[in-house]
Amino acid sequence: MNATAAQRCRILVADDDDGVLEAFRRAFLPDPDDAEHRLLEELEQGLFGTLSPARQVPMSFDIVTCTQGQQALEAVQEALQRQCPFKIIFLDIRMPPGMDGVRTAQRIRDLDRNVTIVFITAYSDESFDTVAGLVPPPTKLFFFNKPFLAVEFVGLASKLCGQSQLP
Amino acid sequence: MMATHIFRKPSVRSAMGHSPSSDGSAMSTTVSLRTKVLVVLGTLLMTYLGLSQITMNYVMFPVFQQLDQESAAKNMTRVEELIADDLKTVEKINLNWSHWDETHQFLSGSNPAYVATNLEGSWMRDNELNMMLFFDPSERLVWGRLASLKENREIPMAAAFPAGRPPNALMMSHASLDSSIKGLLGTEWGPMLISSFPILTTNHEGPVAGTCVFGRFLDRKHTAALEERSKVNVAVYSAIAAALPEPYKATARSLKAGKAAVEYVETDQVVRAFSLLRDIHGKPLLLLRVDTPRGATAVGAQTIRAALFSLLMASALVVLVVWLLLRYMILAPILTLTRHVLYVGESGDLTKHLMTARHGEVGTLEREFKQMQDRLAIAKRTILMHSYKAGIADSAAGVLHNIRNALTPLTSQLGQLISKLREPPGLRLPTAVQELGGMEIPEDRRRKLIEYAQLALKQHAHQRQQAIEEIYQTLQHLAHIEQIITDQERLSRSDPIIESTTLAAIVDEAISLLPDHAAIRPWIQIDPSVEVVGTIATRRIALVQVITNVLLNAVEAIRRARRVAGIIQVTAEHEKTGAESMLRVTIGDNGAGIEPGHQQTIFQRGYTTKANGKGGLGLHWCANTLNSMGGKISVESADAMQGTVFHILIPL
Repeated sequence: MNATAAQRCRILVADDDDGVLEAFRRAFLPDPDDAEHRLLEELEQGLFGTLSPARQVPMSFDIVTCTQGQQALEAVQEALQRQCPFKIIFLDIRMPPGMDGVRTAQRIRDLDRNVTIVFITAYSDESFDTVAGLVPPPTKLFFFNKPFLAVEFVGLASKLCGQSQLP
Repeated sequence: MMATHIFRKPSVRSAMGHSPSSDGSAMSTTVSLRTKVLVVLGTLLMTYLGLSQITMNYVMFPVFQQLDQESAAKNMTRVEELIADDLKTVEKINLNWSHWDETHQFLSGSNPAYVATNLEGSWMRDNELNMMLFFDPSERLVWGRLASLKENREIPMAAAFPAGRPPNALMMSHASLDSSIKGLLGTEWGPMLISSFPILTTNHEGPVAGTCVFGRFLDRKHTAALEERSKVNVAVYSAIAAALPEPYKATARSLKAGKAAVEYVETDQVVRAFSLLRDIHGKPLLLLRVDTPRGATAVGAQTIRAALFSLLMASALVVLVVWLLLRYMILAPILTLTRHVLYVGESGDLTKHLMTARHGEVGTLEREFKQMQDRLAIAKRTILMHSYKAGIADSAAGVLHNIRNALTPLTSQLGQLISKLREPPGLRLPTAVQELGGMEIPEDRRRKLIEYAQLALKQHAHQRQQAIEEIYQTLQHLAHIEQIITDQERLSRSDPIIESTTLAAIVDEAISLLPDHAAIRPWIQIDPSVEVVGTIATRRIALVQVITNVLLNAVEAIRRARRVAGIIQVTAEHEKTGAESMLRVTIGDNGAGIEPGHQQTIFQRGYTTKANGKGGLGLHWCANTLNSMGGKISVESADAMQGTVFHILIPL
């Protein structure tokens, strides 16, 4: 992995639903037409001197996806070995047939005390308090209920990764 | 509750069956119980008979033995007295002869005709005498005669007394006039009863002219006579040890030692009494044996046998009666109950009941078990219903999960699409186009403006194309969600379970599901027609719920009317509508009734009479459920406060 990649905000997503993983990939990966889009913006800036206020410099994320808790655990171990740990891990709570999200989170927490864990669930049967007791500390724990908008988790990821991690 | 007959295990026999061999586990229990009771009763019988036998043998039997021994002692005394009598007789005869003038003269030598006159002929035989001896004072035998032991044969004197003198033992001298000797004496010809007197005048005066000795043999002939008189067996043996039969030697020794006057030996048939007969010198001469039949012992043994037999019969009868009573009062009912419990345990059929009206503890056990079965059946149905509802909830949660999962990419995609469309490429395109419409534009800027406009339009077109694709994708996601819903719908439309049951059982179950049903049950009058309609095949659980709902409605109407005593009447009848056969169940109450105009609306969703306006699902649900079954529900109510009658039509 090159130095640029190591500086980018690394995100792991584990969910047994491919649709959800696809939503994450779509939200975090850069638009393939970005080069042509940038050319247009350069022309606009050259011609009119200003850029529309809505235009922000997009964040750059390094996203890894998997469908099982065990795969997520292995990915975390590998990342720690290579000293480029994940900043945020999104975990589905129910991922049959393997470990559930809470158990996966407990094992990840044993390896990495700093990573922020975000549970994404379509059920409402797991209360925050119960899970927070199992996977401390509560300050590094979030809950997202499905369905959610991409802007919500992109916003959260941007906030957590902070400006210093931008390329 | 009436029974619904669903036999899941037809191989298991009816609980009321009588064949005792097809139910292995039940039988092992009952055989064990039966065996135990039989062993206990048998042991009791044997112990009782054993104890009786011991009592008879060691307490009663000795009493009979004692009687026989006493009888033997008496007989021995009698025989001894008879011998003494005989001895007296010999003595009396001798006295007549020895104290007689003619004998005195004969021995004085002055009566030569004496022998011919008095001693010839059968006189001795007539008097059963075997020996007559006359001695002169110098102990010389003057005259003597000795008859043989057998056949009255004479023994010549020369042969009997070869020395001309009798042996010393027979020499009896009398020193005084009134002396006499009598007793037993052993002679070389056999034992004899002997009497000896001095020979005197008739007036018993002297001088002594000699000695007169008379004797009678104590022989077989004599003992036969004794037997004849005493009516018992008598035997006499020489007391000399060597001459005695082997078995009697010890007895003779014991008697000689003087330990007892009489010894007794018992055989199977007789009690043998032994005593010693001593001679005139006091020495043991003879062993006398008197046999007494064991009459009392024989009677006693027979009595004991008869008593034991009658005891055996009586106690066997008692045991038999006890066994039959135990069997018919305890064992058989327990066996029946055990079979029933095992049947219920194995088949899980809680509707099968024991239909006995037994009293007592087993009856109580049966009734308690029936009540337990009923409670268990209700609990089972409640659990079934709860698990059914839990299953529905679980299934709903699963569906929601799937929908939420499917919605996630859809909402994300739509969110991104909206933000993209909000910021179209080339926001300054209108400005650029306006500027291009003007005249004064440097060529370089004009070229750049065109390039910008072209690029912006291209990007627009691209974005538009992309948006269309993404909308198609969201449509696919929507189709996926629709599929989830369709699958769920198909699942929920699975065929309902039809059960064979009775209307009475359904009504009973519906009542038991009412809250506070113990207080409400007395209000409910079930018409005999409900029993008459018999068995029906229907969606039992659904129908129970419908009737519970209608009953609940009636209870609420009665409470609204503030009646103290509610009346809810349930009737049933068969009804034919064209080719279709239906069952009409009517449930009438004396409650508050339905206000005019509401007869149709009460079945609509959300209709309620409750003060807080909650509820209103019950009757709507009932109508829907009955419709889905092909049935119908309707209501009639004359007026407010006139009560309500619900009609439920169930297809058969």
